[in-house]
Amino acid sequence: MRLVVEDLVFAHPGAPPLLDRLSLTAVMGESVAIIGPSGSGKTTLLALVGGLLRSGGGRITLVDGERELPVRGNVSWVLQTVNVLSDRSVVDNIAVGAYADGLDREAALERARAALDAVGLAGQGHRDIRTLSGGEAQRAVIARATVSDRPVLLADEPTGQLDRDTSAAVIDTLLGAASAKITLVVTHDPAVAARCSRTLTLGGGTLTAVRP
Amino acid sequence: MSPDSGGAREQSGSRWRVSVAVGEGLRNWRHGRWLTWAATILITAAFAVPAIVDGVGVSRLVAAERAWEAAGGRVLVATNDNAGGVPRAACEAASRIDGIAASASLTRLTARAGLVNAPDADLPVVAAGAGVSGLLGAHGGGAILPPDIADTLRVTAGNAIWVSGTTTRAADGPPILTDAAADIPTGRVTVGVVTDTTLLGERYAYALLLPATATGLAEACFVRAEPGHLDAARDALPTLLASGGQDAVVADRLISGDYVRDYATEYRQRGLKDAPWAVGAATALLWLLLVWVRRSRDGLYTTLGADGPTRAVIRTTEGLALVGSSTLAAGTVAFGVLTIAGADLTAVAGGTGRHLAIATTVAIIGVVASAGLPFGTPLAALKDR
Repeated sequence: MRLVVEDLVFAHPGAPPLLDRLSLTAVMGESVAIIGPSGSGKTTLLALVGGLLRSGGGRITLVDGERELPVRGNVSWVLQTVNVLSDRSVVDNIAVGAYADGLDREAALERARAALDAVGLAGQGHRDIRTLSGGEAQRAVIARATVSDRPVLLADEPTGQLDRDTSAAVIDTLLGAASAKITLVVTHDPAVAARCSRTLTLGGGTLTAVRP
Repeated sequence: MSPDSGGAREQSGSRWRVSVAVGEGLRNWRHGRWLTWAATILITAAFAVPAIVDGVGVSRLVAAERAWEAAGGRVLVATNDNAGGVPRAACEAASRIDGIAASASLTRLTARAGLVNAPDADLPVVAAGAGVSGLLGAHGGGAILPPDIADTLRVTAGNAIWVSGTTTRAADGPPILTDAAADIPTGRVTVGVVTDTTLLGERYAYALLLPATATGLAEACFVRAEPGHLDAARDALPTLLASGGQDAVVADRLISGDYVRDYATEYRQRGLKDAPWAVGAATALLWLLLVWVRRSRDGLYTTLGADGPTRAVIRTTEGLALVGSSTLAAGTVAFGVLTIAGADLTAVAGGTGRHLAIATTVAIIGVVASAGLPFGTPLAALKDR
């Protein structure tokens, strides 16, 4: 399975194109780091791939053999800020990620507990999510993103608010949990980019390979 | 699907189950903590306070109207001295006319009544048509005795008294050509009802009311009009109760005029009558504000694969739970306070229920309508966090 982005165009109203005929291909099991200066359109690229924004042109598809599948609906997210349901428990927050697979609550909770184990938070499910540390909370968010079967994982600055040691642990967790997915990671951190399969720089509306 | 396709889906729509989305909305409501509590308290107060204030006002209005009615409000008295009286049959039949609640013919007699063990006691006697029970709001037939006389004589319903003498007219009244005396029971009579008779006025109130058949002429006809029909009754009765070619003379039992309270108008024009409409609309606006404040949650659900309709179900369920729980709380508070305040619950229950029903319905309409409102792109919602 491949994620194929072809000739993607996006511009904010009245502004020059932020993305200009941008193309990208990523395959299953691959993690692609996307770096670039602030305002270059990295988050916008992820939002377009994830269906949170509409593009001004181009195609984004998942290619599975001879078939083309819509990307939207096959994407899970790890966001820049720790976006959680702040008034709920840890396991509840993770179970929400499994609902997109059509699971009922009990099945989702079962998967959520397994995902917690996978990110090193076994036994922490009952806790109020607000009592977790920044690193723990981001690992819980990774568990939420990987608890579902969706094949594409989009991570927007997943370690942006963490210290260096915690950042390394979290990226380990992320790439380990997403080893069977197509992962796009937007980051400013060269150490995070170095852990990915390859690195692309976004600038002038297009992607350039830094580390093929 | 190839072996490495995992859980890839062929449609871009949401796979969230409706039951799961409903459950998510309920969990958001249950775990909403201070924001949910604050909203619940605010909505409960907004629903309950106008209902309580209006309920207390209505209760006082109803009590005042009842006192007015008990004293003879909305009662007309028809006489016809020129014709020797008003026809008893027509008077008693008037209660069957739309707009007339009760009617009764009355004639004060010179017959006197006494106790069984005191036959010479000197009680005034009034020959009363069958409609007098309805006029007085009393239940039961037979002789009727006012409480003060009953207390003095130590007589209760079911006791016997002695009625002596026969007459055809009141000794101190105008000349009346009546044969009432022939139709009232004399001798040993059982007291059927002891009830307040003050609305009949001085001439008829302090007396033993004995049942009279509806024939011949009576001294007066008392008619109670239903609310809103007093003027029509005042206009119709002179002709209806005419006798010997002479129209009856109709007067209000109590003084009426511009300075008399109009209870029906006061009820219709009370200030908080329309408050629940505004309260419901304000609640809908409050819900909109809450949704806007928490729009990042909507964006979060989008990243978790919930499409627009699924997010609408989550939001609407939470809103309905909030409004529903607030309504229950407001109902409990409103009826509790009204009970403590001594309000007549039978009189105000309908109005209080109407308050809550209107406010709740308007709020629910707002919550459901808001489900379709856009709150910017999910990305903008997430960035606004």
